[in-house]
Amino acid sequence: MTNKHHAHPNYLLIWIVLCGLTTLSILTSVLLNPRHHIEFRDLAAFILFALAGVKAVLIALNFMHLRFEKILIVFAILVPLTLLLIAFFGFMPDAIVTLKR
Amino acid sequence: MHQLESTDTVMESRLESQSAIGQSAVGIPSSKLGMWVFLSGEVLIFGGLIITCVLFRLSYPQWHEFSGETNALTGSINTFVLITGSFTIVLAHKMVDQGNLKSAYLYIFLTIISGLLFLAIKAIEYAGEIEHGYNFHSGPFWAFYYGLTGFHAVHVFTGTVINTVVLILISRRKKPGNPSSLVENAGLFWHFVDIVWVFLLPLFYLS
Amino acid sequence: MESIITIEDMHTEHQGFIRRYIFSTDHKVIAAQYLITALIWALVAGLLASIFRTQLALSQKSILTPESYNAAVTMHGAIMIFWVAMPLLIGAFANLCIPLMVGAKDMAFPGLNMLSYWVFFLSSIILISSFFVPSGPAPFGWTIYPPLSADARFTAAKPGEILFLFALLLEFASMLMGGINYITTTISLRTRGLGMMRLPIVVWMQLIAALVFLFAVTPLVAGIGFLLLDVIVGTSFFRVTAQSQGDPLLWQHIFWFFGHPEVYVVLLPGLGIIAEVFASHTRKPIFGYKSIVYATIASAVLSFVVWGHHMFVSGMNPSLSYPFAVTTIAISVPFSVILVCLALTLWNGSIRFTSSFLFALGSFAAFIIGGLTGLFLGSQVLDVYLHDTYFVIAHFHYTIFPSVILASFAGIYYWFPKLFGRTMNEFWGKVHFWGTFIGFNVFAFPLFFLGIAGGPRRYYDITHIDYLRHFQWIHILSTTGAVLLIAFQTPFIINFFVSVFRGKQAERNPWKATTLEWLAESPPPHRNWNGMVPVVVNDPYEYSPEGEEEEDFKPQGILIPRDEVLREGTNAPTGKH
Repeated sequence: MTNKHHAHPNYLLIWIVLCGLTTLSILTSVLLNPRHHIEFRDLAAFILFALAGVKAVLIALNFMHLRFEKILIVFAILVPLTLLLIAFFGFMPDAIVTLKR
Repeated sequence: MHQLESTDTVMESRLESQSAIGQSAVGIPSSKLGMWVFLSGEVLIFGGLIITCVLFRLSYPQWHEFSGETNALTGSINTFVLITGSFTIVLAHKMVDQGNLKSAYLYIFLTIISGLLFLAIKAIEYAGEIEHGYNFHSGPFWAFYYGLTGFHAVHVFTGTVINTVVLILISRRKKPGNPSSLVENAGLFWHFVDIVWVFLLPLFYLS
Repeated sequence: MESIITIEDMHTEHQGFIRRYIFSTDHKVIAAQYLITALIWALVAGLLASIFRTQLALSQKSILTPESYNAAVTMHGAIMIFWVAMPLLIGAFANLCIPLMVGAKDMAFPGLNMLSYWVFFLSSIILISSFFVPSGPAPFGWTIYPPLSADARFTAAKPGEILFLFALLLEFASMLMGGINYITTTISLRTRGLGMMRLPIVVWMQLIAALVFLFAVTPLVAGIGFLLLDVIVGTSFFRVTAQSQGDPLLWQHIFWFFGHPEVYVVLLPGLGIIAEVFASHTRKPIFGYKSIVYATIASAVLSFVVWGHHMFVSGMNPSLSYPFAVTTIAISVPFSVILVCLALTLWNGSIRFTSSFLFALGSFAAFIIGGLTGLFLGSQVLDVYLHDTYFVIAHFHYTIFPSVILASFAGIYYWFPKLFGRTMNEFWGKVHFWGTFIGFNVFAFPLFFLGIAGGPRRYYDITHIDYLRHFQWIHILSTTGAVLLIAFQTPFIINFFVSVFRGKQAERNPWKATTLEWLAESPPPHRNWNGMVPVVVNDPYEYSPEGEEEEDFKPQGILIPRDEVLREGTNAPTGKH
């Protein structure tokens, strides 16, 4: 079976950006360390997960070639993520109440 | 798919390729589609594990104290290791596409090394943490930590095995039908493993 | 010229018995393997039901201890859903139908297909072994609720439980592997001319069911992982201990997030089989093909947001109850569209009452009763009363039994000639139908009344309870029906095995049906098409077309020699996609 040969993005550039984002995450965690600055705890978590999200998107679109196979983004990424969000928000009212007790 | 090769294999595979790609609603070869179906299921398995973890975490305000006990340095090094492994395997795919098999062998080999390095660092980490007295019974943070990173490590191991098999298959004298596809699909699995780790890093190490 | 080939000629001469029939990658052999294994499990689970139903009817005697009773009802439920419904409707029928109906030579990944069956076989072995450990099999209900399932303080059946959970994980793995094949084959290996909107309804149903299963079972795999850690290692994801606080209700959420879509997974293929049988037996096209496809997709999507209706009385946050009740009632709308279209397919049809059709019709009729009773349970107000009563049991037996068992029998009688190249005996088929249908209704219908009277499910003996004692006659009546139901499987078993070896040889297209599988020989050879290529030229249900015709149907495709197809160049399908 022959492949439809799609273009190859600049993998080196992506790798450099990914390493940069990781470094940024480490810096965030060190500077906004919740153990020393409790008030930054939620902000730090938000920034860290946002950075993780950006890294994941970069890997998915470029290394996994999803940039060229957009329909897969819908079925393999968006549908599962939507379901996970539905599950998370459906379970949350009970889990938070029970576990906090 | 190569069960019974008929005498006019070329014609048959041409027809098969026309059937498989020309009429596919999405223009994606079967093997890649199959791998993506598998990966979308894996998204939900790891996703289920992670959202359960997050639900527990949102109920324990002192979660960040536990994540201070994990070694952010080794966690970060492992992140660089996996990201680099993703980089090398997609380069391998590009090399195969360009017909440069010798470079492809090197890049796949480097990816295998990255997998083994990850597992070694993880083993050292676990050993240290267990010595400190942290095990499954040390509370929900540690139960999730060992469960999730352990399950992830199993995937790193499996991926490394797959990459080794792929390296062997494409370096033999009798080449497989579609080496580009083979390397690409192995790469897809490896990238997925990398993406999961990208989320485990903040979850257990950094925040 | 019709060529008639017997099962012995089915494969190439070069393969020995083991490669042909045991470790075969041919989708038809794998379908037969799933079929036989599932039917054996059906017998086991049915016999389990007969035993505990006898215990319920003869409450003064002690045929089962209360502990064994719990294990029996648990195993009956779990086996029926995971080791009967799924391998039968999906393992057998998806494997048989999909490649033939899309005009492919085999599944996209035949090796993976073979692996999926043997993993299923392994899961069966592990499940059987759980019956023989000293602690006995798992006794906590097929829903595996903690703390009963997670905490050793409450359950003594630990080895049996662990074996059950591993068997379950393997079964999920097997079905997921199968699902990869069904989805990829349906999307990628369709032959020339077969656009998505020309697929037979049963293929659409299998595709949507496979996708729903893929997305529903995977979070449960995560949940079972946590449960196993709780049981084996002693963590507290779902347990509550003095040291560590888990959440038992979280399990219920995870389980039903899977559980509700799962009932659609075991429902849709049956509806697809009914559609195929209806079309060919009424000599009419399926009414509202596109409506059925879109309504099924809508139902599948909605099925992921109704799971809370299993948890109305569980202590779930009450503010979640109202949204779930609304979505549950809402899902009945697209669902009714499907059922109305099927009913309108029958209208003005020229019906042939074969065994296959009788099973399809009986399935359709009984399912409507099940579906209607679901509306009562979907209202959170009524469910407060009806939850965990026999009303629920009657409801789901009236939905699952028709759509799994009756529809599978319809499919077996329908495709037996294609798969085995022989014909089943029609007279005994009809005997089988009436015994099964009457037996089932005598067993299940009275249970609605026991439920409305307040009779709780899973109870070992209701004669100890004041307000229920005088309803014991319902148990006796129901058990009579159940025993009748099991007994009437005997003509089927005999008919099936005698016909496989000594049935009359079947024609290529005994039902004069339009879909592609009837173009192949009965049974089709290895790689299905003898070197020819089926090319689709018509819509799938051209029955009784207008104009003068020799036959009252236009086959969906024609067989063309491979070189001619190649000479004609690229072959994009006509029709949408």
